[in-house]
Amino acid sequence: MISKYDIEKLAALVCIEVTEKETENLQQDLERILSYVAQLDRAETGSIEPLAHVVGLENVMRGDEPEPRMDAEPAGLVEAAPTSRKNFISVPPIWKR
Amino acid sequence: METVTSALKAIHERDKEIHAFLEVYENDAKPQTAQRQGALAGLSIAVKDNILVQGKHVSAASKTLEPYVASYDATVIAKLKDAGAIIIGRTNMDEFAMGSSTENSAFGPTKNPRDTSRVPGGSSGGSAAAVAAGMCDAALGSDTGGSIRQPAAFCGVVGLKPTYGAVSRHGLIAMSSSLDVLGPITKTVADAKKIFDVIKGKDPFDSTTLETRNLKPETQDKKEIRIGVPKEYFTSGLDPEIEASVKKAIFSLQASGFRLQDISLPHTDYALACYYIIMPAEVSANLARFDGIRYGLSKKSDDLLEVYTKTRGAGFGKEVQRRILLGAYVLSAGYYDAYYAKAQKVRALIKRDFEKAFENVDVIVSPTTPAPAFKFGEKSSDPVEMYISDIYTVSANLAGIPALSVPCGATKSGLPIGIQFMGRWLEEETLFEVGQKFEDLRGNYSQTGGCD
Repeated sequence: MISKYDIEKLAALVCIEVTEKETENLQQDLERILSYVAQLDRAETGSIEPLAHVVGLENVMRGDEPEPRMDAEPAGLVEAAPTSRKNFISVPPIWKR
Repeated sequence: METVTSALKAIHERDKEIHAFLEVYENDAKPQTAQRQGALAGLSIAVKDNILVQGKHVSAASKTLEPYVASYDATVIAKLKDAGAIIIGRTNMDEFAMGSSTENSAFGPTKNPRDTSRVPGGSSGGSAAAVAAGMCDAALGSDTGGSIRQPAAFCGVVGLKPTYGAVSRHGLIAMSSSLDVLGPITKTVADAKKIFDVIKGKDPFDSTTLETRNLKPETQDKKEIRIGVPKEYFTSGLDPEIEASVKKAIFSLQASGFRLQDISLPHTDYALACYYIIMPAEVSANLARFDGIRYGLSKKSDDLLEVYTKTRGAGFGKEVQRRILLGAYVLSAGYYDAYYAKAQKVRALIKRDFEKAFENVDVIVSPTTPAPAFKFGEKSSDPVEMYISDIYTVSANLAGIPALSVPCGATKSGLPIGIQFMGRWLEEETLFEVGQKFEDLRGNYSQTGGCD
């Protein structure tokens, strides 16, 4: 069972503001989905290793040679941010005064 | 293939009603500016709104990214442009590719061109509808659990979900990184192959891409392609009209010389539940970047944390919020082993089912969807009901194998039916071969109705 408190805590963790009504709906929906996925309990997994990557993830190396520089900041990337100043993204203060 | 002119004409005539496009690039799509050279010279291609096209808006059909403009081309876009294709516009989708009907688009749903009272499927619903309505020659979609194949089946067009890693995702707005793959939605199997050949291949900007050149399918030297029919895909949840149509198609393949074999993929029943743990877990991580600081929407506040919470509260729709919370839950301490670690083990079993099956067969055949296109609102009240439309498609994503949906008929009321061919890792060629052969057997699929 997932409680209203769980939903409020999760919403705070994932930084999503939710209303009272939304909390209720989320509680119902998550309850419904979790009861559906609970069927996995029945699967016999024994000593199977968990699979994180289907085709095997390998480290990709390249020669230590200079290459034409890919623009670290393509034109427009910083300007696409909601607020920017002098090619920097500007944000509200982190600490309260 | 349509010319750009006739595609634009179809858009002007029908898109007000269908709403396949979020934006049409009229100025870029003039026939006189069309390139004359390249494998895709002059072809008009519509692009799902989660793929970056330099200088164009890209929103993933979310309020969160409504004002956002892409600062570079996705690798697939650069490759299409190099091959002479014309990017004709960006297509509607479920917000951040989460949904199976386009009803989750923040900008209103797309209608199915075959029956406008019904959904086109999703999440690449705009792309499939645009192809079905002749508004472009082909389209790009993304497929995480069926988002190319399910709308292709609902709209009566061809959809290819390539092998995981066969196509670069540089410039795709990520949803679930261990599952996402880009692919074409087209009118014919030959077109799907043509586009796949252009967009596939290793990309230095995407470390998950695989080498696809000179890959020789195991079937190449064999005369006979063996087709496996998994019993788990023909059970009680399947619409009888779809079952009849797909079985008829399978027998026609057998009559033309393919060898059929009954097979079993014993962990099929767990696939959807497995998917609905792994996918939201990855969603919750991937969507953390949309915080009101770097992209799109930003709700003003003096307090930084409030910028995050207010922006994400206002910008994300219901389904997106639901999946982010669910993902955070299954990854949280105390539940991780019961949900996420368990799902990863089941995923290993699902992959193993396919490995075993492909020891004896070259292609696995199934329906693409358990039911034809549904009506608007029919499944939006219960999230699990909606998820079930992906029941036959998620396994290919979990295992990473390629899968192709081809129209195989229509219901009595004229709704398209899709047949799905799944192949070994990186053996798209075999799928094209079987798909093409099936198209020949099936005859021309009418744009307005079913086929014989």
